[in-house]
Amino acid sequence: MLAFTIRRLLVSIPILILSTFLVFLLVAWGADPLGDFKAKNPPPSAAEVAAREKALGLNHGLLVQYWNWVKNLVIHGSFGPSVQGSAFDINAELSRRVWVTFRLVICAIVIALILAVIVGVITAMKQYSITDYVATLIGFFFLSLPVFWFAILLKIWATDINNSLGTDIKTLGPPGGQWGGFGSWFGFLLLPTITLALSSYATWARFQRASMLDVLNSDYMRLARAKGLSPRRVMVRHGLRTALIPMTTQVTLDVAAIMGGTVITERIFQWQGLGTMFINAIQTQDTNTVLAWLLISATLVIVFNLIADLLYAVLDPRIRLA
Amino acid sequence: MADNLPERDVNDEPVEPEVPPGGRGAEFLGVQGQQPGLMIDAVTPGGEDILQGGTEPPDREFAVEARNQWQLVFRRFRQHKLAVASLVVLFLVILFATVGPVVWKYGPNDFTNDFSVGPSLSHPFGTDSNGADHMAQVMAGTQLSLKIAFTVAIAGTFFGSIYGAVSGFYRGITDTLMMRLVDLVLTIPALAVGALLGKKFGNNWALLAIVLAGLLWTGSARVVRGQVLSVREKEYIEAARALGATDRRIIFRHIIPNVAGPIIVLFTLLVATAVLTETALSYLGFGVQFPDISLGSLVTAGETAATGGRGWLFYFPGLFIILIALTVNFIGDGLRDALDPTQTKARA
Repeated sequence: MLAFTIRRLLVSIPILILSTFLVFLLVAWGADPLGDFKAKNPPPSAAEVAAREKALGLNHGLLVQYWNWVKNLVIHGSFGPSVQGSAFDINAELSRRVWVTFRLVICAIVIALILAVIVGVITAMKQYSITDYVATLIGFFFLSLPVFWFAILLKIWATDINNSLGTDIKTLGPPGGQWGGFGSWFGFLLLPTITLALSSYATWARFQRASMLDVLNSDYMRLARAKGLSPRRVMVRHGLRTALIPMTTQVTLDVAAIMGGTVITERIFQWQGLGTMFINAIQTQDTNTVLAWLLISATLVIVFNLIADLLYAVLDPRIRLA
Repeated sequence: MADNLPERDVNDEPVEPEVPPGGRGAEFLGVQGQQPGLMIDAVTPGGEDILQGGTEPPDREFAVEARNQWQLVFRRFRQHKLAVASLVVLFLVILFATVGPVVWKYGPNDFTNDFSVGPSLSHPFGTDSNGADHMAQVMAGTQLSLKIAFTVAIAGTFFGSIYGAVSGFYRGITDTLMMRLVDLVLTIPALAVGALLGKKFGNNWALLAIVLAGLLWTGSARVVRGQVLSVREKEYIEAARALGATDRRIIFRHIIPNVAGPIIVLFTLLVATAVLTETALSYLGFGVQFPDISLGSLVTAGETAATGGRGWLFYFPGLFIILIALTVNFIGDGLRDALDPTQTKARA
């Protein structure tokens, strides 16, 4: 198991490196940090543009730029200068915002996962019942729901409810300190988490249902029942435990999508997290910030993949030998 | 403990063990042995089509010629009432978006003297603060969003399927390298890179569609690869090879037609994903750019209007996004069951 862990860890490193390279190419191709500056009227002189390019290191070739970026990142731990003014320190901003976003992501994953497992198992056990049918329809609906639209809808409803109760806006009210009031903390988290969790929930619940159905129809379940185990023990020990295994893969596959979802959710609920930072960075064509965001996101995905693979090896006896 | 999984599960699925059971998208398809997702059976209980198909044993159904097979598919699809209803609704939405602008008296940029009026007979979806007819705007938005979504789905499924087919067919080092590239693309959130590139290419809808297809093809590649890995071991492939068929011929004449079912389903799912992604990007301002109208950019405009009591500017574009995504998803669900005969049979 230790050897497997180490080997799997080592495989992740080249993937991360390649991922950073791909991301770097995409950003270099997709964004021009000096676009706004060049479009100024009157146009800046060639010397001014060259000076800016030199300051940002854009005067080198693409590979050299990548090398410098990686070197700067590894040796100094710095994501480089930002075009959003010298007061905008990317590293400081990141460390201030990263927890805000991760809190959202983790809460959403946990909530979506718990809901999905419960609904998936129930619908599988009551296959073709009215419960199953209704849950399936609801799942389809969430799957087809534009998240940004639904988030705005939730916001409108929430404000209406607060207004009709004659209270101040509760979910957007002043915070009682980050850790001070759990109530306000929860209030802040509630709607964004629901928004972010819903679309993943729909996919996961269907996946859990399918995987549970597969297990329910398998021979060892029949054996477990035949040898006289209690239905509960059959379901939980033999059924659910096995049916949860494929979920690990599914959840990790969706981490990237959830990170993408935070961009929308944070924007709508005015969260000062990484997502908002990312949107601002694209608007100002701040390539170094965009790169930083994509790097964090890719790292998160790779780490989740690693965890899933290890979990899989622990949970699934067929994989252990591999 | 009886926790050891029966060998049958492994044999059912001749995919290499390190492949996670079910790639992205596979959960909708139930294409792999691990997950018989029988959603449709809630509507049409399994076995019904066998009854309607006559007294022939099910095995004989696959021995009939290709034309009849498609008839069979059509018959199975017809039994999925929700899918048929969705097909009708989607057709109406497409009519609304294509014929609508030709017939309707207002264009999206025509200004009337009715400023910010609610839905009425003369303006079924109301007007915005400039007096523009909102139904004309929604028509234009639906048209562009549909156009982008179908382009993304066609390009993405086409590329992804060929990629997956080649990868699964050659296996070995080719497969490993190609699938590592897919893993690599999957580490990057499509929405984020879409926003970055959409900002640059959003003023041209075709380029935006190609960019989105370039981000969303991986699902097809993974599923088709899994299918091909299983199909390539079949006897008819061996027979074709024994007759001297080239790799190219085997892939295009024998393998792709035999994985056509999942590919068609993937296509419909990609339409839904593409609509949701494009409208989200356009909402953020990184997708379709002014003066083009997308359902997403209409939501942006309607967002502030809704809090000001002019909800119609917000609800109608959202409703149409849901209509498109929901109907397409239902159609895909119906097609999946219609195209995969093994799905309707209950497992022993």
